[in-house]
Amino acid sequence: MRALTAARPSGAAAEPGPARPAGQFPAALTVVGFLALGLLALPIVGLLQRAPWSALPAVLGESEVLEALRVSLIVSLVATAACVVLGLPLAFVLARRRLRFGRVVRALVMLPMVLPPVVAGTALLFALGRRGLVGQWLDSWFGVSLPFTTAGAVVAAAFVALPFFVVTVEAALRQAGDDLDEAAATLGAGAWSTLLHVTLPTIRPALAAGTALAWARAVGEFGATLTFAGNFPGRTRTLPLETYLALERNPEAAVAISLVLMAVALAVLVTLRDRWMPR
Amino acid sequence: MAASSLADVIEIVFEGRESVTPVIAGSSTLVAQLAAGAGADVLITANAATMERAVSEGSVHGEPVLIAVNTLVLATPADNPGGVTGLADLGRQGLLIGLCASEVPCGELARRALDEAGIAPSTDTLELNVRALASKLSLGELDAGLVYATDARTPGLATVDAPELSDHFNGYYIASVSAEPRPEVQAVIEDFTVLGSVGAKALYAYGFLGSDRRPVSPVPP
Repeated sequence: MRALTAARPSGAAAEPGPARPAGQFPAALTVVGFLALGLLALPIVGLLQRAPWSALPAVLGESEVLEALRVSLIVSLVATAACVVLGLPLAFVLARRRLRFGRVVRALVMLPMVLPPVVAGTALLFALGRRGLVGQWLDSWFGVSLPFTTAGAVVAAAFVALPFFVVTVEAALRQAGDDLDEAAATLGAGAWSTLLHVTLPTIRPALAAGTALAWARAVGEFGATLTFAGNFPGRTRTLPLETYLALERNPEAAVAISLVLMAVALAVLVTLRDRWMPR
Repeated sequence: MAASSLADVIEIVFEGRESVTPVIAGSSTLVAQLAAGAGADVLITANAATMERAVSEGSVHGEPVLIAVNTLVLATPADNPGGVTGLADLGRQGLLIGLCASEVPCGELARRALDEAGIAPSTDTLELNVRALASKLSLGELDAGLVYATDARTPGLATVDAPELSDHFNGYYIASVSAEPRPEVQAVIEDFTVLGSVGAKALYAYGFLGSDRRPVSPVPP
C-alpha cells in the first residue's frame, strides 16, 4: 500500500497505464453532486437577491467598514503566515516521526476544528488571558497582555485556522511518502536541500490548498476573536464583527458588508488558485 | 417572545404551562422576526426603542405596558485590581475598560450615562451582549465596566458606587401581538402586569426594579 501510493508522483509519468474508461461514473453521483452544489450555492443566491445594490457604494464608503476591512486583512494575513510557519514543522512531525501517542496527538491537532469558537475563545482566555495559565507570566514578566489587542485577534484566528493547514499538508506528506527524499539523500543532498528542492515542491498543491483553507477560516473568524480579543474599532473589530453589529443597526448594511467579505475572499482564493494550483 | 436578559424570569413564569412556549432572543432580533411574520402571541423587549419599532411596524396591538426597569452599575472583578473608586475611573488610561456596544440596549444606555456625566471612557472592548461583558469582568480580564444591575449578581463581580448612573435605566415592555389575545395569552400578560403575580415575583427575585424604580414588591401592599 505504502509503495503503491508513494510511486504515484513519478509513476504517473513513467508508465501511462490504461486510459480511463469513459461513462462508468454512476449517473446518480452526478445528481447528488449537483444537489450538494445547490446546498452550497443557495444561501449565497439568497444573500445576493437581498443585496441593496444601489446602497452598496455608500455602505462600503463608511469609514467603519473600511477600518474593519483593514483590521480583517492584517489579522487574517498575519494569522495565515503564523499557520504556515508553525504548521509546516508540525505537519512534518506528524507525518514523518513515529509518535508514541500519534493518534491522540492528531486528534488534539484537530480539536480547534470541532470546538465551538466561543469555547475556543474562552479556552484562550484561560490560557493566555491576564489571569490565564501562561498569560499571567507574560503579563508580570514582559508586561504583555494579549486580550483586547490586535495581536490577540491574530492568536485567536491562528488557533482556529492552524488545523486546516496542518491536516491538509500532513495528508499530502503521507501520500508523497519519503522515497523521493531518501533518493535525494542517497544522491548526496543535505536535509535542508532535500526539504527545499524535493519535498516542498512535491506537495506544492497541498501547501497552497492548506494556506487557502487556513486563510479562509481566519478571515471568517467570529466567536473566538470576540471572546478572546473583544471588539474595538481599528484594533480588533474585523469584518465579521462589523457585520454582526450592522445587523443590529441596519440589516441592509450587514448584507452589503457580507458581500464585500465574499468578494475579497473569492478574489484571494481565485488568485491563489491561478498562481499555485495545477489546473 | 422575550428579551435575553429575562431568560431566568421567563423560565419561572412558564414552568408548568404547556399551551404557550417562550422564544428568547435579543430584543432587536425578536422585533425583526415579528416584522417578518413570525407567529407569536406576546412580545417583551428590553428597552423602549425596540418596542416602539414593533409598534410602528404594526407588529403589536394595544398600548405596551412597562413591567420593570433595569439600571446600570459600575462593576469590577471581585478584587478590584484597577483600584476603581468611581465612574470617572472609566476615563483613566492604563485600565482595561469594557462596555456594551452602542448597537445593543445596555451599550446605548451606557453611552447616554457617560455622555451626561461628561466622561470619555478609555474603552478597550465593546461587547455584543451584557452577559459576555460580565463574564470577562468576573474572570479579571477587564478592570471595570458598566453592566445591568441584574448581571452584577454574577459570581466574581463587585460593584462600586456610581450615583451618576441611577438616573439612567432601560424599561422592559410587554405587548400583545394579536388585537384580541386568547385567554391563556391574556393570563401570561397579567402574570407580568399584575402586582404580586408570578412574573412580578420572579422579576423581583432576579433584581429588576419596578416601573417606579423601586424593588418590585413581592406581595401587593
